[in-house]
Amino acid sequence: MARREMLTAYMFVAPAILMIAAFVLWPAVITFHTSLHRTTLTDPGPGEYCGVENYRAVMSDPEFRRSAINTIVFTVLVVPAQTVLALLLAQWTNGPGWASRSLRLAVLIPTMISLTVLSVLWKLLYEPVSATGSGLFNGILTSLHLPPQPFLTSPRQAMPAIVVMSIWQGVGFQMMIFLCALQQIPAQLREAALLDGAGRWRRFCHVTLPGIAPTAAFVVMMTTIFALKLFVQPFLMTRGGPQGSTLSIVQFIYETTFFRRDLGLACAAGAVFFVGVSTIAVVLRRMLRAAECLR
Amino acid sequence: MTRSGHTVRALTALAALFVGVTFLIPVIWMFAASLKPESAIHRDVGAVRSFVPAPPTLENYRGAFHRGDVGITLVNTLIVVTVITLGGLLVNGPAAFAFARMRFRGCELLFLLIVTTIIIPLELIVIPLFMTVRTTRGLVEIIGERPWTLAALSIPFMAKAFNIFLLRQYFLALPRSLEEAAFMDGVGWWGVYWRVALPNAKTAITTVILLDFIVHWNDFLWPLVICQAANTRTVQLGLGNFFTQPPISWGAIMAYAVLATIPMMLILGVGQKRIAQSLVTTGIRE
Repeated sequence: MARREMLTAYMFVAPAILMIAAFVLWPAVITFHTSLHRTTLTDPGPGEYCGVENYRAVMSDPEFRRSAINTIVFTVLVVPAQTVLALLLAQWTNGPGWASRSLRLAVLIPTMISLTVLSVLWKLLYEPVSATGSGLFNGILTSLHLPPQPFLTSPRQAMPAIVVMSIWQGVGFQMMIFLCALQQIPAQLREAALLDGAGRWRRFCHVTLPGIAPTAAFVVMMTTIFALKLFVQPFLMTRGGPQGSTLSIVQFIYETTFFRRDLGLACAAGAVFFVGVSTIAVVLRRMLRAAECLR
Repeated sequence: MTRSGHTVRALTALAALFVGVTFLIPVIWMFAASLKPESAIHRDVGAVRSFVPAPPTLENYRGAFHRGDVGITLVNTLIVVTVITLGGLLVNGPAAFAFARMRFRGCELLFLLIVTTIIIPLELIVIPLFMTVRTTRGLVEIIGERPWTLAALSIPFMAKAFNIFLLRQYFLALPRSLEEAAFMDGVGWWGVYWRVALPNAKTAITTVILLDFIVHWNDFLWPLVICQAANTRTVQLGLGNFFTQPPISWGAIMAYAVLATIPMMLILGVGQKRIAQSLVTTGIRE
């Protein structure tokens, strides 16, 4: 290729490369660098080198352990339930008719609303009974003569409450992706199975499932990573409480930076988090690939 | 179709309707509460009336504007999102085109490097990115607090590996014959990009714009870290702040929430299907 064209090519890619280097790669490098130094928020640069001290501190920090367990519990509860629900809804609403179309739209609406808005909304819905009045859910429970629940104010119910809200919010997006995948399965396959006398269940297992397997693998990966980054819902609904029962890893990093002002510790937590998420993503991918090969 | 077949279908339709309405209860309540006086919201809770905006009032919206400053946060968000999407297109488009069509020294390595950054989440780099961006804080003296914050909210997110990846996939799929004809006419690479590649990649560009719009309209973490003055907040951050500020009015909070939602609903009503489709196709091909 001529020199001038080479120069043009570099001009095409230079702005993007420079900006990604400055705003993604450089901060990523700083994360690891800062995690090896004693640094506070007010320091202009990284402080004195301290080896893996921050990593040791973060791994034995009871709050960090708590946040890691909470985040994993959230992910383990949300991802399978949401995926199965989305698949069922996609299967149910995949077809013509006003009823299917309305249900599809209804399930999609929460995904069109931001997590911030929905967290604020559900905080009010979950409000316990008090002198000023109660939230909608407790109002409904009361009018059904059922005992009112503390929901977000109880350490035992807060995380399940956030899980329910998150599934409700995310299921539509997953359903939409499954619907696209279902529509790409060739109709002949289904007809052939029908002609062979395969029942509903067998058609689902042998035609539908294999047809959407690659999409399902992709969706499970995406949802898992998204769930591990849990922050907005607990931050707005419970601030991580009560008694740390909904503290997430990202909130731990945020608070370590701005309240404890310990940048070294926050960056070590960030690095642990990144390695954790990447490992889970790689393992999950391997497992899903293996599952695909098995069929 | 037999009579029992008809019954089954009618029942399924009814079930679908029931599930759909139940699913939307929170959203219906949000809209209803935003239009009701505060006392009526609390009085009606649990009754069917809690989903009916009666007696209707716009008082809550007035509260969201006067006490919550929802106006300025909406304007801020709109500015930020526009700068990110349009600036992003200017930065990511040419890069994607070069990676799709031009051979230059190091192109494979550079592309690999870019694609690798897709796996770096904002949550990992948010603190160091904050430290990096903070080094330009001196500019506040020159350009002022609000312009500085809006720039800090938008400029770091213009270049995006995923968008480059997605656009490149589309450019790769374009027939080369189109470009060759343009080259025959003596148009250079810039000309080919602007006049041939871009106009033919409208679907991809719309997808990228929609995705950017959604992500950054909804972002909460970065504004939380970077915004200091009240008049620099984005609409999500403004809402997160407004709903803890006494005197607490559920009606005004819900009005704020509705105002933060409507622009997204408009955009997504148009684009949701397209986004899902392109995620499916690029996701599997990856």
